Amino acid sequence: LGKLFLFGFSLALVYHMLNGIRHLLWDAGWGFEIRKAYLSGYTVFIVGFVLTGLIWWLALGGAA
Amino acid sequence: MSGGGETSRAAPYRTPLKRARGLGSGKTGTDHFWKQRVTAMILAPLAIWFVYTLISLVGVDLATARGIIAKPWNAIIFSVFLVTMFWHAKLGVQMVVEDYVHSRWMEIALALVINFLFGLGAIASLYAVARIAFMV
Repeated sequence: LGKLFLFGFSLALVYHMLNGIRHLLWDAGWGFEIRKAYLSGYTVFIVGFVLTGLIWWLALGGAA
Repeated sequence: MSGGGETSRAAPYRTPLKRARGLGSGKTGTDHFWKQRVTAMILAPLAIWFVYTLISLVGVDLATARGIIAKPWNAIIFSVFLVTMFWHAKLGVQMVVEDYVHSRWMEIALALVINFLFGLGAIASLYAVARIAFMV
């Protein structure tokens, strides 16, 4: 159960960071068109899961 | 600001700036916004470092884990990460309260509570790192 909690936490952390970068890029005036904004939204969602999966794969000894 | 028809002598010299200065309508102005961005930019690489370090701690025993965190640069970067993180979190939660709590006294009360809690969290986490780093 602790691992499940930690998984959720890591997913939230990664997702928050990716969306944060997305917002910083918007602040810099990049990708603010509606089409790009939607696209980066979906990208962040998918990459968030992929990165979290990668982190857990590494943590659980996948690279060892 | 109302344009023509001003009869007062002082009025034409007043600019919108006087309403923005000090504790004007925006209170602290863009300060909060900017600090939120700066802490975010600092946190992005630090968060990656943090996760990387955590993964390196998987499976090692307690003494080794303490030893890794106690390494000077690890302890320093960890401290920076923690302070920046609590600061960023405090700004974020504060913003949610300011945007969604619609009674003034509640907003101020929550601001005090948030300041206290996140300050406490930052100091407590620094204490924890210091304890690991200096009491090996």
